[in-house]
Amino acid sequence: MKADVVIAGVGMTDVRIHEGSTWLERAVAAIKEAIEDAGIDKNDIEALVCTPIGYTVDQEKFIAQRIAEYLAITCRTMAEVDCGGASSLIAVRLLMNEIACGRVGAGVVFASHFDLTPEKLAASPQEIMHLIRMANGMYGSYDSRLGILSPMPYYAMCIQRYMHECGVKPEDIARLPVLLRENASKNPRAHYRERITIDDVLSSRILCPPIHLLESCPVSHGAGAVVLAKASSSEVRGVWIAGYGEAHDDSHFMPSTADMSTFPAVRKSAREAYSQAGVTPQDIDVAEVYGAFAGVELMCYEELGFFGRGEAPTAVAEGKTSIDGDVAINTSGGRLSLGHAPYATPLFEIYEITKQLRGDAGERQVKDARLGLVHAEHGMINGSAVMILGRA
Amino acid sequence: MSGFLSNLEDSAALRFYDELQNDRFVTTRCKRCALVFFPPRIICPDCLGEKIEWVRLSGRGRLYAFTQQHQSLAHSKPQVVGIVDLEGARGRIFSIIDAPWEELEIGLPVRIDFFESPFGFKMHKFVLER
Repeated sequence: MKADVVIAGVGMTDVRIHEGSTWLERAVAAIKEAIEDAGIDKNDIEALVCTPIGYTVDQEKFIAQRIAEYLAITCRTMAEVDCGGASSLIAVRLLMNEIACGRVGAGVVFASHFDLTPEKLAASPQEIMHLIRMANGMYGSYDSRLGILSPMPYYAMCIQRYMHECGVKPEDIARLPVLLRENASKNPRAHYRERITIDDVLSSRILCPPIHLLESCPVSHGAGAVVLAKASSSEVRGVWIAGYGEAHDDSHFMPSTADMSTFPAVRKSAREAYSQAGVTPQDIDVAEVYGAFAGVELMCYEELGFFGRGEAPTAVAEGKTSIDGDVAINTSGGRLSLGHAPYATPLFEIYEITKQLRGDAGERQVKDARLGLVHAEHGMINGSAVMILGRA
Repeated sequence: MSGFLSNLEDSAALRFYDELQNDRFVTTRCKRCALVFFPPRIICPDCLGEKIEWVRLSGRGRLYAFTQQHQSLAHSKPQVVGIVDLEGARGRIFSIIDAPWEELEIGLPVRIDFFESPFGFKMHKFVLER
């Protein structure tokens, strides 16, 4: 069933702090690029599926409807999907199923993420009140009482457990940001492109121990868009959706009983996707993995089945995840260096994998890439979605 | 008690914080399957039983993980926070750990203590069991 749907076109803006344009204008730019990339008539777009704009903004309502009006697109399917950082990949799944079951022939998934920077937040009492309300909802009745405003402490403790249980040292984790920055130096759309060393990482400020500044994703803005279509309508440039998996734990941020150093949802969603595509992790040539912090990114490599438990840091050190390695991971620069605009991030990942599978990734091209993987998560990796894409 | 930093949709949480104002650390127990779970809920997360009773916890536990927040809504100086596996209940609590950073290790026994938060209500913290 999934082989009936292709990624027909992709578009994205630069990932950075944008000044002088609005979320709507960035969404429009990404959608235009994706439609033109797909080479289809705008009038053939029958669906617009979007995500919210950001976590910290008191956002406008009815995003898809605004875009439909702005670009004069009439639709048969319209929806806004919210499932945290996995939202836009889940939105792609929703549209994929709509196309596979024959309701629509082609449609667009888009996300334009915008969050206020800490400086902007501090300057606006109205936004701070919104942030407090959001934190209450996000971190629940108990944890929010500690004044938590970011998920970083949870990630820090989960990385601490991983290091404790697997004997991983700080320098083992610090290698990953160096590699991601090297990849980003070849990506004109990346937020950070200047090369760094392990010493730079380890001497950068500690945010929440054991997380260093250069092991953390930045706050970025950006928009992404993907055109999905029935296979017959655009086979030539098409990248097939070969498999999809999704799983959610019974927890939100802090797991109440489960081991914090493992991510069952990532393991389960990957297993479902591999099985549907009829492939193994070793068959994947190129992957975009959603890791907001270096430590958890390494843990996700293991849960996705690329390496055994505790072995990802060594694999990175040995070059196994580099552009010319066994499985090239985060050739875009990943969340740490491409930048992280959570609602749009999965679409940036599909953008990168699509370019790689078409052979259009320029300096970052993985030789003869045939099979790619896209991964997204929400909460503190309490839920996960995995999509496998194949070269047409 | 301040409505600031509270979720008014969760009556069990409000009861928990009300009890905490009197130095009582409580949660709920299911009368049907006998499970004591934390945080408290008005329904059992295992068997969905609706007959629950409030019970006091010993306040002892073990440090599962810890880190430091450099800044938050509640403080402007670095503060140690951690997750405690609770004795006598299924579940964990995220709390302030009032101990020198250098003395902390995963697995250390800790116990609850109470303090006046900057927002004018009493909060829990954990200290090392000596």
